[in-house]
Amino acid sequence: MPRTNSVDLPGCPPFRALCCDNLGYVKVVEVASDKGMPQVVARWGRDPVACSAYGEEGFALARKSGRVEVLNPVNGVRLAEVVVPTSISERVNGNREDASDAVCGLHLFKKNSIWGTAVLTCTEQGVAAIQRISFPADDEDMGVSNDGDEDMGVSTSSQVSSDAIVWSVADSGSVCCLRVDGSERYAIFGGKGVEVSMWDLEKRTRIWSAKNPRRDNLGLIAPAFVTALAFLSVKDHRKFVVGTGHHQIRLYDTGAQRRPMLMFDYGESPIKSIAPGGDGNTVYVGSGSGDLACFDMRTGQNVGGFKGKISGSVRSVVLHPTLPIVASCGLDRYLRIHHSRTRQLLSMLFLKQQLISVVFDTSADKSVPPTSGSSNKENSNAAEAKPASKTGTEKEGRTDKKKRSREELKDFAVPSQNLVKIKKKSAVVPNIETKQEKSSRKVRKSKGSGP
Amino acid sequence: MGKRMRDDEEDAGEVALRKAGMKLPSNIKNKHKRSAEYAKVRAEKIKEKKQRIKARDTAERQAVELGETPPPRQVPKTIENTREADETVAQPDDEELQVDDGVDEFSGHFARAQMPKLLITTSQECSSPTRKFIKELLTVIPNATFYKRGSYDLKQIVKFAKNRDFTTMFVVNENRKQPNGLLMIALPEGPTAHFKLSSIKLSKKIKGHGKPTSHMPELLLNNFTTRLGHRVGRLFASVFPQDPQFRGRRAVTFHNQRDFIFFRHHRYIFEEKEIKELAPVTIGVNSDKKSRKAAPKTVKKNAVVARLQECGPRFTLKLQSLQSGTFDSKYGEYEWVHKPDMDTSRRRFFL
Repeated sequence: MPRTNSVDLPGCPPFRALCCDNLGYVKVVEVASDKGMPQVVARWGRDPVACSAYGEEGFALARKSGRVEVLNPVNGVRLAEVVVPTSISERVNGNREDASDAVCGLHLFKKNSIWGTAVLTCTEQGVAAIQRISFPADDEDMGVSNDGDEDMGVSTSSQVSSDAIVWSVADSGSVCCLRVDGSERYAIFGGKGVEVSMWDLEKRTRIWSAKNPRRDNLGLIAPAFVTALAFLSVKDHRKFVVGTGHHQIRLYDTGAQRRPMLMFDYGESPIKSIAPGGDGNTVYVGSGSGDLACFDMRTGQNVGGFKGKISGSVRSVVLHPTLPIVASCGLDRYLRIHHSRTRQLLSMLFLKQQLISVVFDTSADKSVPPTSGSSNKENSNAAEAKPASKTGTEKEGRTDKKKRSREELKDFAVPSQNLVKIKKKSAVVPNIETKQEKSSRKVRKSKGSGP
Repeated sequence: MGKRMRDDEEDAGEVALRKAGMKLPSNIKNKHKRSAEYAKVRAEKIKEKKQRIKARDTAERQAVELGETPPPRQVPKTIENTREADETVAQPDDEELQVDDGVDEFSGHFARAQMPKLLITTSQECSSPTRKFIKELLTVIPNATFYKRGSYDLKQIVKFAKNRDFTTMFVVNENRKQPNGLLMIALPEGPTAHFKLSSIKLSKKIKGHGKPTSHMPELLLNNFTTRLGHRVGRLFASVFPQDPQFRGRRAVTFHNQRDFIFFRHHRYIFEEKEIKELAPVTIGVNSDKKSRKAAPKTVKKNAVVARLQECGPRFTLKLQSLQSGTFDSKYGEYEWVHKPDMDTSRRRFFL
């Protein structure tokens, strides 16, 4: 007699993801077999996390205590630690009421960037800093930050490093998010009362800043409230998508104008997370009332929503670099894996805490098969991962991607080709922008809102 | 559903009819005859059920007399006990849960850092049913104060309450002059829970209601099992003081059943009372039938029984949303919000 309506979830391809929660645990989620269910294989650390970033060099975490830690994504060994600078000497108004010293954005640079391995941090008050980090020699670990031993004394570099480059990106308001483009030369910042601005990281100068959209049909101007940022594609630093607290999604093109190229509403609660789709057109958008949808940024059309009883705010969305899966997590304590194109729920996992961010760990994919990434083989994996990341330049990664996409998921290769085409066009003639403008105008007319 | 069930397990009456080669009552077209026939079938069914129960009872009694374990009684299937499996059920020995309980917004209350202090207000321009309801709430919840809403924004009131060290804020909303919503805001950091408020019965309307004393009540939180339920339960607990005065014999209950939270307020008393109890069966001592028959089946005994008296009010809550942080309908983030696609099963519950 007990009848259930629950449909068995189809399961997802093998992947490895790292999930941070509000208590500071980092949970490693893995799918061992094809069409398997994700499982928590390890749990690291316990120190409240503000935000996280994943890069080739490791997995960076900004703790609420004002430190940035770089962990080895394979085994959770702490590779480096730096303290985030929270003040600038020349600044006049030191303490502000509307913003705190908390870290709101984090980026981990690649090894071959201008600064070498470095982290970019930004506090709510708008103090941005680039700090170089040095990893210790491979054989001596700085201590595994597993649970229980939270107070592992890391003696080195517990201060602001001397060569930290610190500058201010906002004098008023509170910064909410930052993003760095694929070439790692430009960064965009935005927040509550802080319009989006693009900075040249080399010169630390603002090269572009957004203008508030025109007054709406009621003659009102919404104050700037940027809650989520994402570059549309890895190769193009000019186009990016902005989610606002006023439940708007905007597309900016720094090459064209300072006002948004395209602007539309989604739902009635603030946008909390945006992730770029791999093809340079689509974005995945999560909102504060637990809605997750896919948008085509050429037209501003809602391609479709993601189902799966998402009941809490979606704090983080991320697309897997090679597989067609989207992971999302948030305040409803679930990690959900959807198919990126069919938007079908593949699997969901209860992770007990309110989740802050999720990232896919692809370091294991490059060196060793993903199934053997468990904590037992930490050292060997770490040793293997290192040379791979050293030699693993962008090209290798790309070829890897292509191979994968051709072999395993033929359908996924199509959008990536499209992307190349579009990029070529935009490189040759800037017509594409005007086209987009037209289309955006159409949308604006049809929606009857916007500037 | 009922029909299909009956199809699965055919009644004895129908089987008997079919065996006797008679028509089923549902196939008779004359209504009068049909109902007469059906009355017979029904009587047959009732009789059969009685016999079944009797047989079961005798089997049980015999088993007890022989010193055997009686056959296990069948448990009726209800919606609750056939509920969909839920992985979010909070296990008390879960280490992560304990850690979270130690740092969440209510940890200060459970560590007895501050005494709960409640501010009650209404929607703008409240009506008299709402006022009466709030008057009763003030008698139930210790350390509660009513403030007129005036024309203030809720955010302003939240700020006001924070400055005056209130730990919780209630906002009673109304529709058509009847209270229909309750907003519970934990201060200073949230969360904010929005409940649908229904089935309000003030104590005056409760038959034989008692008058509560001003002692600190005991708090009962029933069936808050899932992770969300655990959080909501902690929110309720944070409204009442941690140290009840047992002398007052006052109990406040939040009983969760199928996601409806029933609020009840009782007084209780333990009294000595003469009750009848089944006589203990002695096996082997006087095993002859006569003496067993002569022995009384029940024995009078003095026992302590608990008696309840309801004080009121009664009402039912249903969670609509749980928002992190204090009230912010525009920019707030939800921890849980009810959505239509959650209602695809009657056996799925969230608290």
